[in-house]
Amino acid sequence: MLLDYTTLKLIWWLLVGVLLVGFAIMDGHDMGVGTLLPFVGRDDVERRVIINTVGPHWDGNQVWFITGGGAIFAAWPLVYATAFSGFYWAMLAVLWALFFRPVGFDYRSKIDNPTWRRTWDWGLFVGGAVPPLIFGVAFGNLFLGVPFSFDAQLVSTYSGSFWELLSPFALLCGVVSSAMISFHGAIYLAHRTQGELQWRALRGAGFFGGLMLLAFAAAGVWLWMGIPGYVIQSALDTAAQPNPLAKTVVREAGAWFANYRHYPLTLALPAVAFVAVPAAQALARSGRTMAAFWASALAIVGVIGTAGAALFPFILPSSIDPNASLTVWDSVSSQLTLTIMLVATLLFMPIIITYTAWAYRVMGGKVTAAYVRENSHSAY
Amino acid sequence: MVTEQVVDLSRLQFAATALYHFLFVPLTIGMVWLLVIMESVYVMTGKQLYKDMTRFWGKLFGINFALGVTTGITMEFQFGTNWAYYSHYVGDIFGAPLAIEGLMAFFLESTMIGLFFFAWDRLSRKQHLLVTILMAVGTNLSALWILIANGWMQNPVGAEFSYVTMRMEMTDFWALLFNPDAQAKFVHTVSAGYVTGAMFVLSISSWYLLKGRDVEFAKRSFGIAAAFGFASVCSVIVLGDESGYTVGEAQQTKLAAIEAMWETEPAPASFNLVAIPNEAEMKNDFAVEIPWVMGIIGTRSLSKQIPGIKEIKAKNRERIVAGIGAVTALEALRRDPDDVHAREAFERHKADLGFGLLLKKYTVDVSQATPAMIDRAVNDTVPRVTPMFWSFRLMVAFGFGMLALFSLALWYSVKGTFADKPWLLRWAVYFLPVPWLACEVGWFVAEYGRQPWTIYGVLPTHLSVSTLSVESLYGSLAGFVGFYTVLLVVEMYLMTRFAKQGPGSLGTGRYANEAHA
Amino acid sequence: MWYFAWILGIGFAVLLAILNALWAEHEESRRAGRDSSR
Repeated sequence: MLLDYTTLKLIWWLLVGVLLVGFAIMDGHDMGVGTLLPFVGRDDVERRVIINTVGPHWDGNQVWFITGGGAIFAAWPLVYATAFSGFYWAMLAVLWALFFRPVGFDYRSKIDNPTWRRTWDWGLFVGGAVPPLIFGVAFGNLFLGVPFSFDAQLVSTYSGSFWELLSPFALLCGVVSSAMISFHGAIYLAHRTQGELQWRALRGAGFFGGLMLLAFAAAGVWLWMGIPGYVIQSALDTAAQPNPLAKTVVREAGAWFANYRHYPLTLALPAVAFVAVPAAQALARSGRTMAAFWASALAIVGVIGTAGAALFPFILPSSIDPNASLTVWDSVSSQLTLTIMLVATLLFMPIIITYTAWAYRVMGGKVTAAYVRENSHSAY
Repeated sequence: MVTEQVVDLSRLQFAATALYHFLFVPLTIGMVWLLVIMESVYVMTGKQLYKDMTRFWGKLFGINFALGVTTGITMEFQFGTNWAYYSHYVGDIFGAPLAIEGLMAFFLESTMIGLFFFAWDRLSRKQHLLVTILMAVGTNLSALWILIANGWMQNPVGAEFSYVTMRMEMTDFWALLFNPDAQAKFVHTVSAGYVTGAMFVLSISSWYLLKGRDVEFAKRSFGIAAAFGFASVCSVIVLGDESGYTVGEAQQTKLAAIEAMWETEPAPASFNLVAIPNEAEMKNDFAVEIPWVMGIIGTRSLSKQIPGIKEIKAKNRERIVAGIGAVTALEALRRDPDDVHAREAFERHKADLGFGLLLKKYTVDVSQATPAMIDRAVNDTVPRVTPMFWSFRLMVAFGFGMLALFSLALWYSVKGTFADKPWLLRWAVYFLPVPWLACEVGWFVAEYGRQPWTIYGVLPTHLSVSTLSVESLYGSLAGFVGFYTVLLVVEMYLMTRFAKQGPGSLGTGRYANEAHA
Repeated sequence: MWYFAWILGIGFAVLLAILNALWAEHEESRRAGRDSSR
């Protein structure tokens, strides 16, 4: 086979990270736009302008989420099984919130009735605001550890409840995630609108960018001061056939910062976040909104990368049976499956990026009130 | 604690969400090609009417597509939320097609659909047609990958169990990809979608013609739907027969249940046209038999035998007994991987591991299984005959009914006289729900007929579920059904509203019932 | 090889429908021509 098992396991950790970051950048900006919709758009035409900035793209962007789910299924089946069944109600809340998006986008403007349209506007808000919040909370819970265990046949049992996920630290992580997505959406909105709407979007970017960095810094301090990390104690054979029950794991104060101590270069990730957010704000204010969008995307790379680098090699630590924690070494698919999936990803990702870029170019430019009025029967 | 109730509720939720999803999917799969056809004619002839057709039917397509996406999101994650052990046990094989589906198909269809709706003025005619074609290809490829995954559930090729990782692992990707069950099922299923799309356009066009409205628009739509539907319905029936044949190889059980064949008959077996199956006594109380037909459909030969239910059960009993050895050895190996005796015993019986696991429904310690438990497990291996028998016949009857309709529709369309045949137009209107009924019944046959397995011969359904509470499942089931029903009502409302309004909803000023504003 | 059959089949079905549409257009214009020459 092309690559040895250890390398493949590492590559797939990176690739899942790439898919998550891709999801946050692409689907994130339309979710952010959805979140801002009822607040930035004051009347029906303004709201239609906002919706049409993402109208042709939200569906393609949402596939980052679907593919992310599929990739976790294929590359980390135990994580897919354990996390999604454990976080049952959180996952359903995400799915049910997402239900509002396809119908919200497509049905809202098909009927000319203010109540109908207002209802779907709030539907789009729910579809944009709830998933990032829950993903943030879920990430927070990864640091805290999740109460699951396995029996000898690897049947997983989750012994927590939905409400236990909502601890203060996890909620703080939810704020980081929500603010980050709203910030990103605001920057995108500034890129695609003009005049009054653009000005409101810029104000939103100012607020949410600040909130994001504040919450991000606070979460970091909290993690440093008060949340013990996980450490693999037993000897590690990274190339072994995956078996999550074959190791011993202990909890240790400050362990979530071990990777930063061993590999100081990883400190660049949080640094990027702190630099990119003000840079995006400044660029957007100076009218270079395209560059601002990419700066904001970079900030997302920084934030998600920071969390990933801290957790590595853990994916899903178990709070009730730390030895059963899932790591990049022992919750993965077979070497053959990882190889095939790598080939498929390398083959299709460039094609996807190409036609997505083409679609944005074709539909590019500012969306205006005049456009919405002229295309009142075909635009969203 | 996994109880029978947890298993039943999980199955019910999966069935409900999947059947809802498949209300929208076939129309998407089929309509998208009708859009390709209409737009191609527009590009070839330059006639505005065909562009309006593409846009109007595209509008209805979009309303349907939105719910296809909505209900589809659930499907990608429900394996993890509700079928956790399944996801772990076969994720190494089953996950890959789902991920590739996203990469290869969903991205393409979802990106192109945005351009399809919004880029009419920003692309040249040919570029826009290309977008529509790519959207069609993407849509159909997504059906390909999920049916490869589903085909593997029916006929798990190219994989092997590993006791170290406690799961099935892929050994041959190409076997998975070119699985004969997957191939037949894919073509059968997308063809059913094509028929659904064609019926949708045919019915609504016929309704306009009966009303004498937008006649030129409706006549052309009717002709296109008739031709495409005729070719598709032929394909559905041929591939349905092919599915019967591959089922004959990999899943004789399903076939025997569909045909209510209790005894193994001398080849070629006869076909029960109608029958009243009696489950308790394992015989048919009444049957109308057609000699030879079953043997020919099931084996493509006059000499090969098709095993009846009694013979299948007898074989399964042997496999269950052998499977006890496999399960016991596996459990010993999980305690001590270096146990040489256990490894030897496991290697000897591992082909029957899945059958041994069937006993887990009745006892935790399979080695203590009583003969009564084994009897019950054996009985489980064949799905109930009556629902299989009748739902299959219903599907076939729908299929042939549509074949008749599309044949006549194409015939009179070529002659150019269908518009003055109200009986034909009315037939088409009344048949609007038929392809959906056929699809849903077809899925019932395919998946209910797979029971008691999620992966045939490998993993029993009752072991596949997540360890969730009954309350959680009642809650989520109610949530899904409630949510979907509300959305379905909204969708049906919009669909009927725009279908009734007709092409006037485009606001071009060329049609009846023009939209104002 | 049913995948291959599918590729051919969908091409055939699309072509059949396009031809049927073009045929109807042709008939239509023929009828229209006959009507106007009368």
